[in-house]
Amino acid sequence: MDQLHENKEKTMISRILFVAALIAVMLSTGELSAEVITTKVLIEQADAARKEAASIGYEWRDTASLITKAKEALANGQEEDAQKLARKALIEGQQALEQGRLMSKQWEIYIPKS
Amino acid sequence: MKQTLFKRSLALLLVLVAMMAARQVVAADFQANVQTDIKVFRDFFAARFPEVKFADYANGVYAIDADACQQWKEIEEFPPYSIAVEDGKVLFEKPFANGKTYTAYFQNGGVVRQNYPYYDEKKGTVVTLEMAINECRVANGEKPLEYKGGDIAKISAYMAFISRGKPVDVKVESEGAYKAYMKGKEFFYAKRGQLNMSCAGCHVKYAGGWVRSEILSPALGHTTHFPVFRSKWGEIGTLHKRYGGCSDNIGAKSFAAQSEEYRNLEFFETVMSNGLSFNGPASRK
Amino acid sequence: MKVKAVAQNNVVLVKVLIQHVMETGRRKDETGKIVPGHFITELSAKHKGETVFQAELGPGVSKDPYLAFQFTGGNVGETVSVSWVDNKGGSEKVDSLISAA
Repeated sequence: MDQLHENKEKTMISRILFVAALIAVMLSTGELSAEVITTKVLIEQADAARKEAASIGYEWRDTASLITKAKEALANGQEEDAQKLARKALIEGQQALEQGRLMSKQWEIYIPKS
Repeated sequence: MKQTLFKRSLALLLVLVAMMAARQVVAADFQANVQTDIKVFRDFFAARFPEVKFADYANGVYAIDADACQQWKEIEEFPPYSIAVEDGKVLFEKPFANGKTYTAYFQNGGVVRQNYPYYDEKKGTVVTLEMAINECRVANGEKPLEYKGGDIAKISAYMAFISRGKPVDVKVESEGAYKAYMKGKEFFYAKRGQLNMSCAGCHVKYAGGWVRSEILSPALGHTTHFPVFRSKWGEIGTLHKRYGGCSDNIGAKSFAAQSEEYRNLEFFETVMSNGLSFNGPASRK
Repeated sequence: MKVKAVAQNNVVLVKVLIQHVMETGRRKDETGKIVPGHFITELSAKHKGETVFQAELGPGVSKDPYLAFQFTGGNVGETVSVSWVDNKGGSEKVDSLISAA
């Protein structure tokens, strides 16, 4: 193997080893508590995105109820459901915000010509 | 020294005159812009529906579909909104607790549908008929009514009925009015909601086309015939109730009835219908 | 109740628009209680003492019902009498003159 490929292989191996060590550390710190914190943060992020979309008038219809359901699921200990709902709400909030920003700049190009 | 002073004051004078002239040009500009918008709007539908007479656009989908029109004409022989008009008359003529009446506020016996919506310079916002009805109530010590249906729709139905035939002639004569008009215009053409659709997408681009089992009405004439007895509602309802429903349909969070967004939208839509006549209330599916 | 009766070619077309809540008896209010049923059970029309139309309505018919029916043998100027009763003992009767088309 020539010098270039040998170096690349070495870098690759060290990278894989690093990630493996990282995962091992994450697993050892307690999977369950990590999930709960992530979901809570996800819900907060989703709500923040929703509010930002709302501030420019582009909030979607279901985002708020998705967030409410996520909070309820989390309170009932249904982390997986809560995560799914929070993720969905976050995507909605982000897309609504992007939609609003784009529309505010470019709505005139959508005027039908014929 | 005197010459420089003279030159400078002359320059200042010229600048001031230029500024004043610029303001006048801007004022004339937006009236011209609105007229251009109206012409483009009308031309679009004239090209899409060459057989339809301009005045008939006030009848919405019934102007563009013969079968629906025939069914609607039969309904018009004994319209379902007649109960709301009768109830509305009773409500309109009943004096408030302080003895005053709606007639004193609105004048002309209540034949004022044609004066709304309008841009109120003092308030700095668009005023609609339903908003004015509640302003009248509050000014006379009464509680405001809910904006989507019920009593306010009945009163609006009665006032629309006695104002039938009056021309749609909304003025956009000030910068404030133009700003509101442009906000309404943006709302109309911008895509929103999870389905990423705009008012124009259905009611301009696909006017006459199908959405499931229904035919899409052209936006020209949209606001002339409200409030409506909508078969789906089984009762009389206001324009802003319909706006909210449409928002829901495309996955966007609806604004409150008589919110600034919907009032600006009503303002824009009614300007686009300038030249037609008010023909409310009406029956719709 | 509004009634409109129009005669054309020996056929009388009658249109009726009734103001009635037509509560089904299956709806629940905000507190979760059932809203009691209140609906028209029967509607009939008489002309010259004879019943020319009869209908059994019920909770399947929506608010402010509209009906239309035809009968033969009626002439302009004669009277059609339309009446209904509901499940709470309420009733209404309206006499309408047959007009020309």
